[in-house]
Amino acid sequence: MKLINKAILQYLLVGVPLIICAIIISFVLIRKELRDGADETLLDEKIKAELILPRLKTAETVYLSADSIARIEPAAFHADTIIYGDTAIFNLHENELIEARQLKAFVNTNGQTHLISLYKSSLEEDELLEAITMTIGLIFIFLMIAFLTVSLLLSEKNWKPFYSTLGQLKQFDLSKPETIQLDKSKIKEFEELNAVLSSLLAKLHKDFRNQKEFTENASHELQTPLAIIKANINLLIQSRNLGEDDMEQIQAIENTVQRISSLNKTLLLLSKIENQQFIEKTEVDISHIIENQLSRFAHQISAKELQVSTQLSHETAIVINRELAEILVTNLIQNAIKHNVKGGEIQIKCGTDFMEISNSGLRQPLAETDLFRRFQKGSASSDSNGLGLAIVKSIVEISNITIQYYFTAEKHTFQLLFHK
Amino acid sequence: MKILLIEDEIELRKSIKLYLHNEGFVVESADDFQKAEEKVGVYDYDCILVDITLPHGSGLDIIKKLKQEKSETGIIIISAKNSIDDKIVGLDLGADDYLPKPFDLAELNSRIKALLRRKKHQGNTAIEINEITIRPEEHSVHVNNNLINLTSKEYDLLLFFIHNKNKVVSKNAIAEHLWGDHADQMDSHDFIYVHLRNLRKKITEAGGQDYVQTIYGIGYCFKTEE
Repeated sequence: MKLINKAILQYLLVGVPLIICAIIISFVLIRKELRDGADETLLDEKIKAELILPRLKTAETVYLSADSIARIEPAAFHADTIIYGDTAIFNLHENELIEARQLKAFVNTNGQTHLISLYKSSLEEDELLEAITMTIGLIFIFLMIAFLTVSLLLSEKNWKPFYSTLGQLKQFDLSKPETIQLDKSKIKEFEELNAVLSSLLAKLHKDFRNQKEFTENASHELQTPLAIIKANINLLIQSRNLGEDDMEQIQAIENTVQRISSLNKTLLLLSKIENQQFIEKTEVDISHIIENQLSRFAHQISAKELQVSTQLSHETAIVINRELAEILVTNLIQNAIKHNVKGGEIQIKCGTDFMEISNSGLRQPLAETDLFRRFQKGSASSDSNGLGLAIVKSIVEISNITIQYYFTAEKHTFQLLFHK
Repeated sequence: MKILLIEDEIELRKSIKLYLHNEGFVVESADDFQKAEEKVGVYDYDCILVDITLPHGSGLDIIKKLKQEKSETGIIIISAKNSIDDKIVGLDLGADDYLPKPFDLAELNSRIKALLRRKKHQGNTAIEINEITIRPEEHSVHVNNNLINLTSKEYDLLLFFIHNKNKVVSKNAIAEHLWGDHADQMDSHDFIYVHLRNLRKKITEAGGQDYVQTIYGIGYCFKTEE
């Protein structure tokens, strides 16, 4: 639920009962005023009635004015009170009973007690009351509608800086170097929000950069100790006093050093890609790179007796860093060779805006979610470091390329789509 | 042949010195920028191995200095950084080669020898090992004066062996020499075996001696002396 809708609902929930109460209260108050007015009129009439009282002989009904009636009759007792009340009288013109206000009072004249009853039609007052109440109600309802409409209209304007900030945050990508520029706002809360967000994002970027630099520095720092181990192994194996067992152990150490060093190189490459250290972009003919790499891997391909078929269009000129393009193609081809079966197939297609490489291999699809994760090893060959596809992914991410994986007809296919 | 090794890491300096000394080089070393600058200014070296990140300075400045003095010294950068930029800058300044750490000493040795040969004789020199004659400038190999036809990998392998003759070279060193960074991405040891078998066959068929000994477990040795 949008905030403005929520607010309007809350206004309505509070406003409607309030308006109803207000209408009831004003109704009651106005009615009271009108009655008081009517009672005063009746009191005036009573004075008039008292004036004409001595002239009356018997009880009779006297019309004092057009809309009030007075009845004067002898009374058996006397009381000092004046009694007001509501009643109904028969209106001759309208030929129906109409509501009226009544006053009863006892008057002593010439030693005789008379009861004076005065009636005044409250038709007018009732109509007035109705009209006033209606008007008040309408005004309240109109104000309410106007208020809600204005809030609705203004909310979009007032919340604009918020939505602008939100939109920017949605675009936020930690791996991209540019920081978000939040719009200035005259509203204090939004200005504060933007300030807090800006400093938060700056810190995030800084930490991320430090983290990445740490990986790179750590990899660099590892190179020298590795070089020392390697150099000493080189010296050690020159010794003539080593037996076969010794050599085997040295071999194990050497292989391990080799593994660490290649892992380290790969991690370094990954962090360099992510640190955007491959900036320079040129037009690169992907098909040409594919051909070069295939000839470089000719030995491995023939050793595994793989059938390679290619459909290369040399019109594929994409703008990319040349080194990254080579690493990208190399990794994909290596991947297709390494995870292939003996006597399997590799198909490579390259069009103007795509490249596709499929290979036979495992007879079931790979789990797509884990495919590009670091250190995710294909089960078949344990000698891989599980970083090949992670590198592929980080290259495509910074090169405006999308990569997709399919498994159809027992073939694993990686498709690259080059965007302009 | 005199070599100056500029490297601040003592253990690495010791190993490189020892290995190259056994190869018959005279090796001097410097462990920081000032000492390196001093030595370069005073003595002439055939080859300088220089690390880029040094205490109190950059190896790149030493290269600049050498080049200003129009020195003919061969320069090999040995760097832990392995960054393309460093490599480009270094080679632009006039370094002859760039070897990222961690490297194999056999590889370093091979590069030094190739560099010295290029420098001293502008490449016009044949390497002769008994009945085998290699002419690097034309990539040709003769055995008993008969030209043998080697693939480029077999040729590289032979040259690598000869540069490191009488030294045990590990299979990993050979793989890295032949395939560079991609060595670990494939079953390189099997491929070495195939290339080596073909190389031996071609040499022995031409009447040459089989100098390559298999060192159990670790690698091979191209033995020309007992």
